Amino acid sequence: MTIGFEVFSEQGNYVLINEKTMNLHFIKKLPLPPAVIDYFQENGGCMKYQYFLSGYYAPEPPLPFFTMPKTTDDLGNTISYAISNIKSLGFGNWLIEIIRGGIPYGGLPDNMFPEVYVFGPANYAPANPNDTHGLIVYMASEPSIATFDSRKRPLTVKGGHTVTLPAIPSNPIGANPKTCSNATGFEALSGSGTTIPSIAKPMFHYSSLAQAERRVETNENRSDCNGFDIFGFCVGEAIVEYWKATAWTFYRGGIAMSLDELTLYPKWIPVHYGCQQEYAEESGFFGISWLFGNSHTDLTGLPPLNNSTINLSSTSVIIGDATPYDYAF
Amino acid sequence: MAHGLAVYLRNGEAVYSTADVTWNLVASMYVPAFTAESNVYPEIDGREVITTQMFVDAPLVSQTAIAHTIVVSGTTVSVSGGNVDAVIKVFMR
Repeated sequence: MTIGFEVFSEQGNYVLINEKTMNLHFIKKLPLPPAVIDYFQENGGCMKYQYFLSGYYAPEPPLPFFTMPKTTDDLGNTISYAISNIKSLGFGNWLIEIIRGGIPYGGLPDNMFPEVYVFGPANYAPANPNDTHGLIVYMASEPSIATFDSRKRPLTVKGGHTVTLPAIPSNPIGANPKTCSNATGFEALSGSGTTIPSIAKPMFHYSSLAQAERRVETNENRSDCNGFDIFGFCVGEAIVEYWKATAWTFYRGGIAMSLDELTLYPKWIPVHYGCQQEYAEESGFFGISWLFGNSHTDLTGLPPLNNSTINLSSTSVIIGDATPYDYAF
Repeated sequence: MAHGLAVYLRNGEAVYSTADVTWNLVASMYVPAFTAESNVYPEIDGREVITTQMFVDAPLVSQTAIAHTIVVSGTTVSVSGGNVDAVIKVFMR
């Protein structure tokens, strides 16, 4: 560097501030509670939240971070979270969707919602007008744009990791073939944990990219003899009924944190589920059989993935401490 | 902190110092579905780099969405292969 300004961290000689790259600054903590747009308790449970950001006029979306409320579900499993979508609504309004795998033990009190903190470049971040002291660094190529402004709560991070989900999201057993109910074994699996530093109030940026579907078929049949059963052979009309249930669950990638808040691990989030049923009734006399007209097959609604996983490559997780931003103006 | 730089607010609160660590935003790339983009960022030369990807206006959470593949090679960041609009953020430190 011949001209400019550059500050390096004591830890690892990392760049902290320079005139070429943007520090992220605190935009806003989003209001609670979020809108709950979907909710189910089956297969481990899922909730989908929508948060709204207003007054952010940047052309590109901000970087959201979320907290993971310290709780477990009814079975003692940790709860997983991820950002699933971000969308501009126009006129400075943005929609941010967070998904959660698992329903917290004891229901859904307000303090169980993830808190969302949003960060962006300094020129879109608010400044406290009373903060007359500090340091501003302007961009070399665009002198009217600040890369760093100490009055606007620049983001400091506590960790940067990549996580990779297990290729298989669950080990399903199946559903009752007659009723397509009581599906079991679809609870989400988690991957290897990573140690994270002790942080007063950890917040995470993690975007859900990985997707997976698991389905399993179960079958049952029943034979009835309406004639005479002679030594195991039906003389007269025989009726055979067949049931098949295809139970499935669709998953998205998420992250979870141990209750001591020192281990982070990837964990699948069930976001959609269902069961499709097939039924056939067959009748015959003396070995000549035909299907009854009341047979039916309903395979509508099955997800496009069939026992497969996509977008499984490692995904970045950025970790920060939300504490300073709770007290920002 | 014996050496380094610390920046304080008017009330005396330290908001930033060389004891901190951060990731600095190098670029934010909006890459529409079924398109590819490749850019050179000299700022990342010799630096540790991470990228993030967020689906933008993604289909329903229960529908298939293929993410873009991101490759960082030297100072070049290449993005391709997704069927959903996405924002790729490139960070360095």
